[in-house]
Amino acid sequence: MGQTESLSRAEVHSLANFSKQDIARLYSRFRSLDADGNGHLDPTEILGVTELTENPLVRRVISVFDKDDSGNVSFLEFVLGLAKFTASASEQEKLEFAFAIYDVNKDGFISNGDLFQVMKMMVGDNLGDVQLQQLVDRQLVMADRDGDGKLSFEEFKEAVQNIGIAEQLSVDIRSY
Amino acid sequence: MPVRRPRPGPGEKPSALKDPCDDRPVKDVVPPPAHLLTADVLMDANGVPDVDVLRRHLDHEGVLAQELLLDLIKKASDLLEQEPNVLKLQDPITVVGDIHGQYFDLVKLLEVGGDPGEVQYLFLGDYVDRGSFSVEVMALLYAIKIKNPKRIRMLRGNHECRQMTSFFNFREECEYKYDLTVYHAFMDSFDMLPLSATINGKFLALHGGLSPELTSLKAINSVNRFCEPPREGLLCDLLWSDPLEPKEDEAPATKPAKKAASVPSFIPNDVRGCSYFFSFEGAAKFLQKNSLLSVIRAHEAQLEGYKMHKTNPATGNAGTVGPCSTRCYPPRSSDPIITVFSAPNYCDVYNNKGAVLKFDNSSLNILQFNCSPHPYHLPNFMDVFTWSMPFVIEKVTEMLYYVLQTPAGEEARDQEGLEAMDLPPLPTKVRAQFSNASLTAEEKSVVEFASQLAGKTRSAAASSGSRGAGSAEAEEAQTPEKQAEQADRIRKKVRTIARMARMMKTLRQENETIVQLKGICPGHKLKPGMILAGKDHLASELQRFNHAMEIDAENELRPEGGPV
Repeated sequence: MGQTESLSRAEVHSLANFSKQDIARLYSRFRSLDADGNGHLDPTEILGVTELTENPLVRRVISVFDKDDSGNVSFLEFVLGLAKFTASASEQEKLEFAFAIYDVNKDGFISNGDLFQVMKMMVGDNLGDVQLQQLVDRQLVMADRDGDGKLSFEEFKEAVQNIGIAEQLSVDIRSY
Repeated sequence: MPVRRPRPGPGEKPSALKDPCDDRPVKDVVPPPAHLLTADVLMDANGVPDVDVLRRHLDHEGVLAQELLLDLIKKASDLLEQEPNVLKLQDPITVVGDIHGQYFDLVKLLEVGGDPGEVQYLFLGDYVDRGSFSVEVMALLYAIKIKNPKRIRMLRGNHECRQMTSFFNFREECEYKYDLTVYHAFMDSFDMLPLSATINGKFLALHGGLSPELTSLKAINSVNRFCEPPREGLLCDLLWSDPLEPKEDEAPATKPAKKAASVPSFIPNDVRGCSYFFSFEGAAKFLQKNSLLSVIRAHEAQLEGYKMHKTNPATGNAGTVGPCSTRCYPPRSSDPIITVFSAPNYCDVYNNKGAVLKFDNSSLNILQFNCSPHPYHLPNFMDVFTWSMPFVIEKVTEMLYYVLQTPAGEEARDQEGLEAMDLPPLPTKVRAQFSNASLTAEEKSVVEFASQLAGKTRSAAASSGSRGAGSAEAEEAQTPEKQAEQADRIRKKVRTIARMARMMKTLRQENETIVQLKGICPGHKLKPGMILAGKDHLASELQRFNHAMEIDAENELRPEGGPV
């Protein structure tokens, strides 16, 4: 990543979801996670947190935070990634994050292989590959409106809206 | 969710799900049709469906164009409406018991029983509910009925009504695969189903059993069947009653045998919560009076797929024939009640065989068959996004919780008054990005601050020794009250995330239990926990069958009230 990271208008607004104290604290955390002090978080640095070694989605989340595909997370990527989880983040932002978790190859579509891989991380050995393939195929057939065999963000949004996922995702974490 | 699948072009067959990225991992699984099946492909010029085309489409969970499915329902319904309450049939004929949405077992059954284009079939009802493929069962049965109106006969079971399909899963399945219009069309067609049939004038076939109001076959013909079955009366009993079984604790060895004469013909059926148990004596009286040999019925799961209920000479009570290993049995005039059940491995847990009865040249053969594999569905037609979202939310919030959780001893540094730090000035290019973003002055200062820190981390690589610099003097600038307040606020935020992670964990764990069942469909009123509990130590098929019967017993009960 270059010396200046340019921010989109949406990203500027995402940052404004935080207070100065939040930013200061995130900076402090960022630096203590950055074990080698090289100014960005490598996957191994985050997986180094004891409680996260068993968490199957850590690499997916890092990959989503890592917008420029550099293989690591800069401070701005860290703050912008976390901004999607604040109460003031929009439903659209949360859905985009969820979509990105499933879009493994980051081509803007959830392909058959994308969905299979992410599901496999979660079901482990509880389901066989044949059963998993059947579930994945069925989901694609159900949600693929244009019949191209993969899901766009709009198709994903519609699929999760129809089953009430948007509500689950937009849980206001400050209300608990 | 209504069907939103694309239609193929006119006259084109539905094509399979595409794999544009060529990354579909399990190529052995045949991809499902991505298009709807339309009338111009299925129906001939006379509006008669091609059963093979339909079956091939349904085999991979293909969906029909809604107007085509409604047309099949209407055509079958019109045929059924013309039939009398009691059908008069002659052998050769294959008699089929409960199917319960097990489409892939129905396909197998039709192979075992004979081509429906050549063989006469009598289905005893309970086509729908419990299994996940009831719509496919109905579409195929109605199509073969339309194709062979005189050769395919369908009776009504206790599940073919609004009340049961709402309580169990057929209504839900219709809504998931099509919509309520389709469901209501099916319900109206169920009202048309005949109630019983005689075979060679010697066997009475129906779904449940006898009734105190059933004195002669004429009584059945006087019933108005075109309605939702009531909770009592002849129509109810034909669909709901069961033969009375001797209880295990009343074995002759431990208790003196009751006199045959003391057994009433009918006693209230507490297993079903409606209708009656009919005793062997009740059945014998009825059969004799009407010059019949046997009652052929379905309605109850059987380990071997069938059961010959016959007189036990010692007690006068009904008894059972033990499981046999051969496939065919000659009929005996001493079998006044025969149960046939055609859903093998019922609900994916019963471990039972399916069977059909073949009447030919006045003799009876029993053909048994094992269960066939079926595509995996999550319970209640849950899709993978619904299943996985709690998992994603839990694991992501858990990750954030641990990433953000401040380790002990580090808290003081959290409170750094970083404004006081020596931060590099922002380049004007970056600053210009915020100016047109319509932010308040405070928001703008936050964004600037974050960008400055970002610049600092980038230079940190060059001077990694400067960590924590400037924190000491900044800390002094804060009052202890303010520090405490901030610390408290941050703790609350972290707790909030932790609580949400716990909530999602519960949901995720429930969903994990669901997939641990691997292919079992417990959502349809069978509790996953009960199925998993104690399953391992059940060694024999009979034990597993009895265990399944036990945990599923409450589902034999008729639900209270009308349709939901």
